[in-house]
Amino acid sequence: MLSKIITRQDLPKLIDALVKDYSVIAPTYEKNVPTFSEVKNSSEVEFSILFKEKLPMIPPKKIFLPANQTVFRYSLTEGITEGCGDISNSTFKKNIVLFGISPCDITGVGVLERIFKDNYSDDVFLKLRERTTIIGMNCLDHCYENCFCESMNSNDPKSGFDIMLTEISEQKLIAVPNSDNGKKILRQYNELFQEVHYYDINNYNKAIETKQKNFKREIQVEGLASHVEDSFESSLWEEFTDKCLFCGSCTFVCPTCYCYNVMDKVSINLKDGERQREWDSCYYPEFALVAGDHNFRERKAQRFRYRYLHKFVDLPRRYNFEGCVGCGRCITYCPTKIDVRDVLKKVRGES
Amino acid sequence: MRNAAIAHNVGVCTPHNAKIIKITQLTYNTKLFELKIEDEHINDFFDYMPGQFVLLTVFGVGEVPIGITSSPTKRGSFELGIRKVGNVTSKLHQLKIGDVVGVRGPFGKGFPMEEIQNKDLLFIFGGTGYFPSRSAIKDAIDRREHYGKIMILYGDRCPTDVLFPWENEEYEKRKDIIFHQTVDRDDDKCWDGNIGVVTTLIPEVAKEINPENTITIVCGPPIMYKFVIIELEKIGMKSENIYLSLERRMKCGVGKCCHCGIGDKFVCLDGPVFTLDQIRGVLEAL
Repeated sequence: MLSKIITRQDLPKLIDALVKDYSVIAPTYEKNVPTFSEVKNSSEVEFSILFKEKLPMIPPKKIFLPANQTVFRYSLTEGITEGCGDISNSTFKKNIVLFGISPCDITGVGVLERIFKDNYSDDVFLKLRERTTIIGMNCLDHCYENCFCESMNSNDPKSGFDIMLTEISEQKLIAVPNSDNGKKILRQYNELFQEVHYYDINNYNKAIETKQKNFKREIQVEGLASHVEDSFESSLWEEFTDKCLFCGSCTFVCPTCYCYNVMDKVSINLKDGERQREWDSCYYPEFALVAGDHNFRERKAQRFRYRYLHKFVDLPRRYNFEGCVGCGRCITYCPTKIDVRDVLKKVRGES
Repeated sequence: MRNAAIAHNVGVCTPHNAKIIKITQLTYNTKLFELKIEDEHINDFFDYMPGQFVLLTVFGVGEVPIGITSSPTKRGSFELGIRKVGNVTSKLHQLKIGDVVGVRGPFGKGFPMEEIQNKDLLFIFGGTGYFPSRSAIKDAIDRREHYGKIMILYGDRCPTDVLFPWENEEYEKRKDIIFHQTVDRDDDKCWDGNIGVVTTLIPEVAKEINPENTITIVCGPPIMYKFVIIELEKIGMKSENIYLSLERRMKCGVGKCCHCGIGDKFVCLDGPVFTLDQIRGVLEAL
């Protein structure tokens, strides 16, 4: 069997070995915020996040689509000086290992990857993704009360990761490779891993059984698209817009929200500058504003429901997946406690 | 559909440098820019359909989506008609011949000029809606034998806003084109033509229109669509024969930035040209 066993106390050693060969992105605290960022050694890794005591506030999309990113550089008079292909290679010097991300976030990265690859492929995003090896950390139960990943079919991805770590006992994790890159890592750091014994396999099977038992479906996604469409003119949206502050928090912490704005920054010498793109939110009033001051979504309710329309109607029809992985971040970080599950249940006429 | 000309070493997010080779002042706030992409290889590949758009960068200011104004029959360079309304277009209006701008594209689905061959064409447009329509009109005129009647109805706000008056005059003179124009108001009393909104011209050509064999191309401000559709349906035009070009905020042009979303479609990928049939049920489209 190609799978290997690693003990909990060897995980920091694995990180310390990985940082020598890769740019390692792992769960950390940055300014007291649980997030993912590049680590220099294992002491920077927040293992409590890894073991599901908390879900990082910012999803791993920040690696491939940073909150703010340079797309190309130019001279004001001569035009382009550096294209996006060259720039995306300079963000991380080495190939990337994204360590310890949850199944829902793996699904989220997969959603973005598909969108950025489709039609015209986005070089900046894909070049970073291609250089990344993903080591996932399995969930055996809902990680907290806001999680509803089972409803969104996102807690058991079949692809989009290279190794999946699953806790099979207090001290042991099994590392199951899912790609050549994954196998390569297991070989490369062979001395940190142990062989799998038959009782490990038993424990693994038990863990997977527990997982299947623990996760409960909360929302029916089948037929949700037509429910959202049918309720388009309904007053239910207004109920939520009274509460919503349109701060955009839910869109920034969402692993599958990807819309962005672009802007030109001119350097102080007034000779050259760069095009940057940064996260935008469809909740912002100027999102659909065009020259001449015509706003295609002027009312708050229009903006509120558009997000649902995009996630639960447009994406399922285009790609056959929802633009939601059920991680519950938008619920956790909403200042007025708007719950996406309540909205969807109302849309379905269930409450 | 023509695909964007992309140089693979820089990717779809990076524009091509293009030189302004000619500027024509159309009205007090509107200019026609003729552009040529600097990279000869890309310039040769730059092929488009009427109704498609490019994302135009003014370096240091930003990027805006602009419908292509010239006919695809014109090769080697292309034209963009631009009204001064926002930050980018205002800066663009200060640029001179020889200055460098950035161009990405062409993007989107244009008017299906091949599919609609042998049909009568009815163009209805207002204001800057003239620009993308002009591309289709010129294409149809350059290949005149492939189309039936060509009927053009053009409305603008006031006489000083009227675009391409010299071309309009030529259309009026031609026997094989029906051309009518109107202005919404004539405060200075300098206009001896029709006065009223563009929909008032539809009854004038109604007897010429065979709804079964006519394709209507509509382009103008959002409010115009509402009233034009009502008039067209009165004369029996079917929704699959009415083509509309939609305007939206766009940042990427390639279905990533989400600004142009309507219902389950993106204007940049699935449009900007839609048949009325396609978008009638689409939420927030019209």
